[in-house]
Amino acid sequence: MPWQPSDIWKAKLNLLVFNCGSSSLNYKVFATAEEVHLRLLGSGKAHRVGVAGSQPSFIEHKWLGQNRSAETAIPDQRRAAQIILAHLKEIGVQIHAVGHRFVHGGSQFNRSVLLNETNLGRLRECLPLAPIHNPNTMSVIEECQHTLGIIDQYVCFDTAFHAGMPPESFRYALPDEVVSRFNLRRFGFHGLSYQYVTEEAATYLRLPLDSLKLIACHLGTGGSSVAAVLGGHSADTSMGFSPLSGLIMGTRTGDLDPLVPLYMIEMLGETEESLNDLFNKKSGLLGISALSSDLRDILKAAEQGSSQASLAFEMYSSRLRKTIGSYAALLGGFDALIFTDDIGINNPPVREAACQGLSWCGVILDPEANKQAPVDAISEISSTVSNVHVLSIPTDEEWVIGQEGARLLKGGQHADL
Amino acid sequence: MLIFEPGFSGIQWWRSRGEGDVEKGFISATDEMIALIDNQEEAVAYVLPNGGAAFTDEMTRVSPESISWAEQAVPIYRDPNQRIVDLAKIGFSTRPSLTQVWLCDTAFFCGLPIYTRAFALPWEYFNLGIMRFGGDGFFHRWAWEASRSLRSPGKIVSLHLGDTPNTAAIQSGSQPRVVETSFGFSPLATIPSRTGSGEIDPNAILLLLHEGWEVKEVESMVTQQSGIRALLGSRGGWNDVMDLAGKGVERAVMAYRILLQQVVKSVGSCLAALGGAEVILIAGEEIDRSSKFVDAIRQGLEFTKIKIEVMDYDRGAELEKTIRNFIQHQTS
Repeated sequence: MPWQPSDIWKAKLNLLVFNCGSSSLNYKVFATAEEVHLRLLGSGKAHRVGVAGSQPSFIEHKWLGQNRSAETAIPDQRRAAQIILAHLKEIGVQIHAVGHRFVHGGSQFNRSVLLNETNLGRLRECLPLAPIHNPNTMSVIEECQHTLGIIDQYVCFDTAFHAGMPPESFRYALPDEVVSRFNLRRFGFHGLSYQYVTEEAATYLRLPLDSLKLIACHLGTGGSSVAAVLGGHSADTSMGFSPLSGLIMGTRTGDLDPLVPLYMIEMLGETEESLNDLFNKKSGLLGISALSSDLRDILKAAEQGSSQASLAFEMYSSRLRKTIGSYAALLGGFDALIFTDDIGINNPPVREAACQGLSWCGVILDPEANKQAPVDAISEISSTVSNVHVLSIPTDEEWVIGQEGARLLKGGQHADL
Repeated sequence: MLIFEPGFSGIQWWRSRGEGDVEKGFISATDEMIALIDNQEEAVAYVLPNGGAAFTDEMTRVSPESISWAEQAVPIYRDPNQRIVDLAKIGFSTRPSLTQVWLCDTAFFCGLPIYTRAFALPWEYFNLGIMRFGGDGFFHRWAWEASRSLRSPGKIVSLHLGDTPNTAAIQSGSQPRVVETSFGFSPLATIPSRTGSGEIDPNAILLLLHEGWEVKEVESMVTQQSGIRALLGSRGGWNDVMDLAGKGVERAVMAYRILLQQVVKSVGSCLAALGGAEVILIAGEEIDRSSKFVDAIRQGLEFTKIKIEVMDYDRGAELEKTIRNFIQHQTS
């Protein structure tokens, strides 16, 4: 029985936002009123997209307080989008525009854009930059064109937030000709999330964002990074040319000495292909622990006495702590430390380990507040004597995409590049 | 006493005729080095930049066995290691009765805690020798001893400013226990050096290989064409950056800012690894030429209220003292 939404169609525009992960597809539908103001109508998520395994893939939908979930075969993101669009049609939700998260906009894009033929062409040039995420998102864009016909679509870039980083943050110390020929620079990622949580932090602290020095840790189940944010602008971030560098992640190694891959090829018989697989898919928590890429499994196994799991957690949290310390020094002190995304929100032991021994830069955690922090709301977890506010803030990338869309569409113009 | 230390373009040497009287030079031809060894009556020391997993002692007598260890370590930091191993082999075969030692610059870091020593790779690669060896160990040992003489016992962050800038975090105790370094598998990690790249996304290295570059080409690019040289767009080192940035030369200003940013971040990383420190000791050869840079570090870290000490480091003289102590210790 389809739902019968009542008053939601009075809104001027309904925005559908897609957030394409490597094995998931999130969506949210927002109504926009006359002003740039969003109201969430419904949401959902396709799980285990393209994942072969014992558990089936499924799609859940949340509309007007009701939840629905259905198991179904979802071989790829395009199929997931097809099912979601069919569902929206079935329940009678009209869509006026679609927004997408696009992981890597390279040097082509430094802000959100409405899609026209020119922009689509430039977007296609960015596909190889994030070989998993970017083509997935492109397939969802194409599915929307196919199903919805002529409709406004726009993309928001995870790299755009960092596009204004100063040269000392984005420039690698490599020869000019190599830098320009291969476009080698630090791009940084998770920008939509950083935009959201830093604005939320400013609102919570009741201080203008442009007066704040913030360090935000976006700790996801797949990728994780840290950003130093000065006055609302990215000053530095731990991911670089690709989402591989920086922190230790589920299956990614994070920072490595540049000579390590070269030595491994010369002396250990590895190849460029084998290392690509190794560094991106078999390292990180999974590689160290030989157990799991999932931090929850690591914490559980460590509790049960697995020394490799304990080591994996120690390496993970020590790298995180050192990265926070490096940004504290870079910013010359800071106002708030933010934890967000799945791991950052759901795991008090990670936050506790990350903050340990950071009193030299003003961070003192309240262990009880940390344990009690809700997973669905902003929460301050620092001690009252801490100079730095420590905040746990659930992120909402789709909200940022919705806001960007309302702004772009209100302008009615295809944004300049 | 004669000390050799290799770089990418040749070998630096120091020769002393007694305490404090040290002359130095730089040579690229092997026969000049042999002539120096031939005239040496006391001892010859060879600085091995990266001893890999085999060298756990800071000083080791040159012997057929230790030469074979050093040979195994060559591929880790190919050109400088190869250069000094070749020289040591000649020195050992021509003057076998002379006291000759390796000074292994990574041995100080053998005690790095395992969670710092290992990379986040499957464990089998650790056993194959893929780990953080650190480097510049003799500098950091000197810094630790100097901090004790400054009556600042306890945790220190030591920062070496110069052509290969790097940091270490050292715990308090009767012996130095190092817990963090900005160096990695080799001196290439983190901070750009005279011709070395500093931190690079591993996927960027793989991209170049994917585009058809040979391993040797990439290696030569990141070790010899990058760092300060690439940032300046011409040959030059640390002191050139300090001097030219002071005169407002655009590329030098960018190099200065990149170096400052990476140095300050590395110090912050060390502070986090230690949980704070009693003193940050900054030193380098001709440290006065870096005074503005040091002031900028001071300013950036003022909020921590941690004491910053600045000292001149005379590498030749300090290495000589170390060797004398070692030989004295051995004979007594």
